[in-house]
Amino acid sequence: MVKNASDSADARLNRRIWIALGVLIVIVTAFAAYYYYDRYVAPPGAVKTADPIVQLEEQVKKKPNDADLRLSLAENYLLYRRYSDAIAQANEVLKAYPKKDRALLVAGVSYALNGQAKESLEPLDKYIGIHEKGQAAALDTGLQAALYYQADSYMKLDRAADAIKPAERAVGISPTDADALYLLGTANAAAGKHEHALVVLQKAVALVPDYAEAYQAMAASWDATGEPVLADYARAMVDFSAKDYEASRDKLLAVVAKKKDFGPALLGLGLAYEQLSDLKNARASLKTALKLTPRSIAVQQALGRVEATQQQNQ
Amino acid sequence: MTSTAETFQPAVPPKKRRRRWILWLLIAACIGAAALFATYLINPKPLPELIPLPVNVYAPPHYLFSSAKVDKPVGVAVSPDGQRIYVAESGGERLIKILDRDGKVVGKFVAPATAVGSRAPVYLAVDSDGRVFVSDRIQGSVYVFTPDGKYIDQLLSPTLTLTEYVSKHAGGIPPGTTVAYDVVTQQLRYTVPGGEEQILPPPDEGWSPLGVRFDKAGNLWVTDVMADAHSVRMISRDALTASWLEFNPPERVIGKMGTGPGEFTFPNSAMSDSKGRLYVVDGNNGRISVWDPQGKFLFEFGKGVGAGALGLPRGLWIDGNDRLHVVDAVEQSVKVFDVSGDEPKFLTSFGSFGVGAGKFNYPNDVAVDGSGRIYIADRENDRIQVWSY
Repeated sequence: MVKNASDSADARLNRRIWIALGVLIVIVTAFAAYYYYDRYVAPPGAVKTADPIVQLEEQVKKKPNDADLRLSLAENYLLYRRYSDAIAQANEVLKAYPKKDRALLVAGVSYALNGQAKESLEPLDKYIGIHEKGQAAALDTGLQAALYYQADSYMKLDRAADAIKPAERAVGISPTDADALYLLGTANAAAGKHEHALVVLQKAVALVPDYAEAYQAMAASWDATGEPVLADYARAMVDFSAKDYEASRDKLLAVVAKKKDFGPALLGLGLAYEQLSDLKNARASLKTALKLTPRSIAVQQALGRVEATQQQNQ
Repeated sequence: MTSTAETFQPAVPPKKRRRRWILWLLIAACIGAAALFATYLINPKPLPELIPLPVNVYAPPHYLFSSAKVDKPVGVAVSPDGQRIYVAESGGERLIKILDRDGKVVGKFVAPATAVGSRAPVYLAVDSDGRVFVSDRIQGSVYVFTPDGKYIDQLLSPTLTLTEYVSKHAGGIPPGTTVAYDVVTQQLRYTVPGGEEQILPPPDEGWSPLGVRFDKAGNLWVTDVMADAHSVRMISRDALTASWLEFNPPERVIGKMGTGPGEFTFPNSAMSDSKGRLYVVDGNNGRISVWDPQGKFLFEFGKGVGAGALGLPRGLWIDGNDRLHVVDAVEQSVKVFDVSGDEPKFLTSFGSFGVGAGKFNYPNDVAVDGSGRIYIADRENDRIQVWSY
């Protein structure tokens, strides 16, 4: 009897365990499903943002002779770095409309970005020919892009002398385009015009203070012009751009010891000290830099930032 | 005398004892899970916020869906219950649209007596009563609407409402009076019911409100981009809940125009954290400046290069966990900082340039609701994107 009662209690206990486990699974599953639906599933009827390329491809299939549709597709291919597809679509349009400027630009830029520098020159040249006489040529961003990629292609074809003119014109349209300035600088340097290159490259790093490639190009040009101390400054700034602030500081200290009146080195030193949280030395370096280059916005901003942080810490 | 058999209580076997423990543990787990589910139904927040953890866990948000088409949206705000999303359009008819939680347009309204060319709604804020405050760059006013978009009044300056101004000249403002500001002649025109149109000169003092946000106490923070006098102004909750006819909030101004510490160039948005510290998006200086509750400048961040650096910051929102979300219009992203500590800590950046799902094309504003949904005005893609924690 006792054994039977014990067995029955055991079975009851087991049943309760299974029931509790079942209830737990139901609650957890229901919660997980509700949570997932509430947080990860778009509500019914919500706008589905389809892939624009898929949409355009379908539209082009329906209307294969619509040049504007094809160009929109080509531009989207270009945006998503499908350069070969962009070239194919742009060329389809150019077969029917050889002077369609949008198609020329897409084809030229896509060729350039696809590593086909030689092929990019013709469409870009035609595009430039159409747009350079326009009333708004000085503000034409399409023209600026065409000139930039034309210069870039000339550089890749080792025709640095040819690259200078379009790069200059690209900079003329957009003087704050650091990449165009860098391209112009490297074109001048490759053509042996190091003094010109250095002027332009310094403008590029004024716009983008951690432009490592521009500093590397500056170092090469200063080496070529027999200015090893200034080349060391540029190499120190390459370290700064790579966030190796200690190496940058040490190299800049050596530069400043040799060239006390070189403002950019003192600015770089101040920035390196700032990154190393040595605000006292950062302020001293930037104060000296400000005396040497009182109009430098970069120096003024850095000094303002350092002084504000010092005040805050006091 | 009692027999031994009657008093004998057999010891519970260890296996059975273990099973009893398992049963109790399962019952406790059921109660815990049910409580968690119920809590989520009442207060839908992401799991890391529902379950108290010893360490602060941050899970980046994910893209959920996009709203119906809205025309070049520049401002977005969400009602306190999270059920209505208000959107300011800069394109088309320049409307203020009301969307439901699923992104469908359920209503629209405009500043009264304005034509398309004479209005430019930008940023919006919703107070705890659901009233909608909208800055308008052309009208130089902050409009106040009911939750359904019925016009209540407008702030012509930090210390003057339209009702107050017209009432002073007209000797009262009966219901049904229509008022409009003519941007060409800079005149206020009003017509009382049954009367002829009257013309008033603009008030002596004006402003150029841009960003509007409420703090936890219900004070309205407005960024003022008046020519050569960029600053941030606070309008107290008391003034906003008292009579519009006697609108006289104490003047509180923070910062001045410039590029130095504590100065602004086109401040776009200002909002406070749980400690009362104010964060001002200093748009054209590419940074966020931080002020203590007494209005003393503390520090700035976001300037420079690398992770967390800002290009052209615009709208800002600080959620209930002191996570600061700021839209970077040129970086085509939203950057998130943890501002719960003494210093801001960069958490993540989401979004990149494009037109597909989760891609931005010059975003301008952001708002976060209590459930962890993030609404972003994706201007050139003509939509409000919804992300979720």
